[in-house]
Amino acid sequence: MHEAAKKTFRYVASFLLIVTLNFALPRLMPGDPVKNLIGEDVYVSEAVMEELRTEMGLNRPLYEQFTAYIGDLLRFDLGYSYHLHSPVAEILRERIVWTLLFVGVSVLLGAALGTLFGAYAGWKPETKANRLACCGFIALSCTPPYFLALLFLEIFAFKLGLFPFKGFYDVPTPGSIAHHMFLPVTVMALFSASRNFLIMRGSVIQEKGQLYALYARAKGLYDISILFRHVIKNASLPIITLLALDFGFLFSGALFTEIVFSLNGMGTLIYDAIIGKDYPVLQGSFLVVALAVLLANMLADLAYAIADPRVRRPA
Amino acid sequence: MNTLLEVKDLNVSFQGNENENKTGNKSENKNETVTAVSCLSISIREKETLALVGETGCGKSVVAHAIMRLLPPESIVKGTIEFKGKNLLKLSEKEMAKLRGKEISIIFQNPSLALNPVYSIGHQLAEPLRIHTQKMRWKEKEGKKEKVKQKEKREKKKENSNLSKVSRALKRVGFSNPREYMGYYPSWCSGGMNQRFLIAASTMLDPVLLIADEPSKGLDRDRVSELENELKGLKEKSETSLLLISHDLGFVRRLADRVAVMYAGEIVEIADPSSLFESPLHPYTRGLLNSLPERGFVPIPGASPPLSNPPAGCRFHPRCPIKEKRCTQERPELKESNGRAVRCFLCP
Ligand SMILES: Nc1ncnc2c1ncn2[C@@H]1O[C@H](COP(=O)(O)OP(=O)(O)OP(=O)(O)O)[C@@H](O)[C@H]1O
Ligand code: SF4
Ligand SMILES: [Mg+2]
Repeated sequence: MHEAAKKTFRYVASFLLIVTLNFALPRLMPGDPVKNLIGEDVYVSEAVMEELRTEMGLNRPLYEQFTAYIGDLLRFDLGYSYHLHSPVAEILRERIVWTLLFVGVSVLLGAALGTLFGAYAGWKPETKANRLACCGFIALSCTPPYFLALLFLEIFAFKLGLFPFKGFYDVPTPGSIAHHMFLPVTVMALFSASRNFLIMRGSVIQEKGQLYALYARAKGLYDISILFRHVIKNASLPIITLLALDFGFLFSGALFTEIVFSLNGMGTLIYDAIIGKDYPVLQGSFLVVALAVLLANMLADLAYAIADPRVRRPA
Repeated sequence: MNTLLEVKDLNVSFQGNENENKTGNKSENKNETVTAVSCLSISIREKETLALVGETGCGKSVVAHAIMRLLPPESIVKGTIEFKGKNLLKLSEKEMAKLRGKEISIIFQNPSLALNPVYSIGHQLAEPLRIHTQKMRWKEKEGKKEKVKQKEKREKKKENSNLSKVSRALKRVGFSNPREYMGYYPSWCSGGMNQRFLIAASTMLDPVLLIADEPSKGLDRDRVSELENELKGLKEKSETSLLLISHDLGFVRRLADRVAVMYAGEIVEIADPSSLFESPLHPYTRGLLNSLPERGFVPIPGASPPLSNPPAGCRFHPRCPIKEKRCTQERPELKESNGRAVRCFLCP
């Protein structure tokens, strides 16, 4: 229980840190905080600026501003984008669904494929096919996802014309969505799979030399069933950690891929916000992405505790 | 009585590369071939207990693993291992898998590492039952196509009966509330407890041959005598033959029908326990007995030779107190006379 308390404390502390940073950043940036909070490229007159300054409470003491900010957060009020003329929370809600769908499907696919192929490659590392697969996945894992995305776009969308090259759908039917998402999901899943493949392969090579694997053989298990019944569960423990650590990395990869495929998700949102210096959107996106990574780590911790009995030894 | 297991001229060597060295013996260089077992012949009759004793690193576990064909791929095994008239070394891996755990079981030397850390004790102990009853179920299924519901029901019943078998086996090795321990994981238990789990797992299917590698290690005295009774009972009830590997010479003396003494990968003496312990013939056996606490604690001078480069002639000659000139040049054979066998020039 002690360990759990420590962990909870750590998560709460990181959460508070993220929220505080999000508050402090626009106020610490050089220049006028009003500009920083509404975005530099927005054109407003001096008078409106003053009005906004009072409205946002920027002339009040910092702690008052902070409590107001926390209050806003609790009401899911993340500010207003003067570029897009709508509340940031609403924009984010609309965009993040697509990004989560995109990232979620790719990560799950990538984890499943990478783990299975990696496990098999680690079980029989000396066969030609597995060596080839290993080389292929190493190459993939070294390729930045946006480059792979460009390559796929060039070949399958422009040259072969098999897939559309922008957007999530023409009409919002599952068929159209799947058609549009196919290439980006393939790119991200391959990228995610390559990392899982390499970890899993090494992990299985290590685990199959353990005594319990030999004992499984001594019990009468035959070849591949030793892998599936004994080795795979032990070997996939590092994958859980990797998934959490990698989530941020994959997320950023996904954002680039989104931009390449002009998908209307978080990636393009952030990209446009950077180009247009739309700080409220950037701030809100930063908060959401940071919280998503935090949540992923929390889930991984929980999953680890369920999968590994050594972590939850009774007192 | 019939011979159950006949090992003839067994040679096991390891193509030494990298850091495969279990004992971490520094004198063994890279790319050297380690001959862990040379020209070893033993036989076990039905219902017999043969004990294998010797210093650490003399190759006892290698013999055990060779019999079950569990040695790593870099090992080279020569000779014949006949079990019920079949040469195990000629069987396919699949045929071998059918024997393992059912006809021949092994209790590993390091129980805490032999159990899988992420599965519960109950699950792991029921596994041999699951593995070795599946094949029968397969045949039945082909015979008459059952309805899915019926099959599920039967499977559940099977699993339940498996679990109650496991719980009975755990009771036999001294767990008074087995159901609780079945939900435990190996890392939650002590080495001694894990040892007893392994013993329960290996004896559950009443194997024809049980190989026990240091089964009394890590157990306190009460548990050792319990284990002794358990092994005795197993032999009487289910006609199991036992290959017992142990450092505990008292334990060996009480259980074994014959004792084989190993030195540097060779058998140096085989005899029944009473004659071996009362009148040991081979100088190494005598030295081994003299090093027991109750006999004065006199250690044998020197250390066992590296298996990658054993001494010429008699392998024991560098440490032998009565060696002669020919001992350093010629290799003594294992000579048999009235039920005993000794590998020494100076012994009858
Ligand atoms: N996989 C391997 N590769 C190389 N050498 C090995 C391997 N396994 C065992 N050996 C060598 O074989 C020799 C015999 O080892 P073994 O484990 O059989 O000893 P043992 O008699 O069981 O000792 P202990 O009483 O400590 O269990 C050791 O010297 C070891 O170095
Ligand atoms: S053969 Fe010679 S060296 Fe070997 S044990 Fe006998 S007396 Fe000693
Ligand atoms: Mg051993």
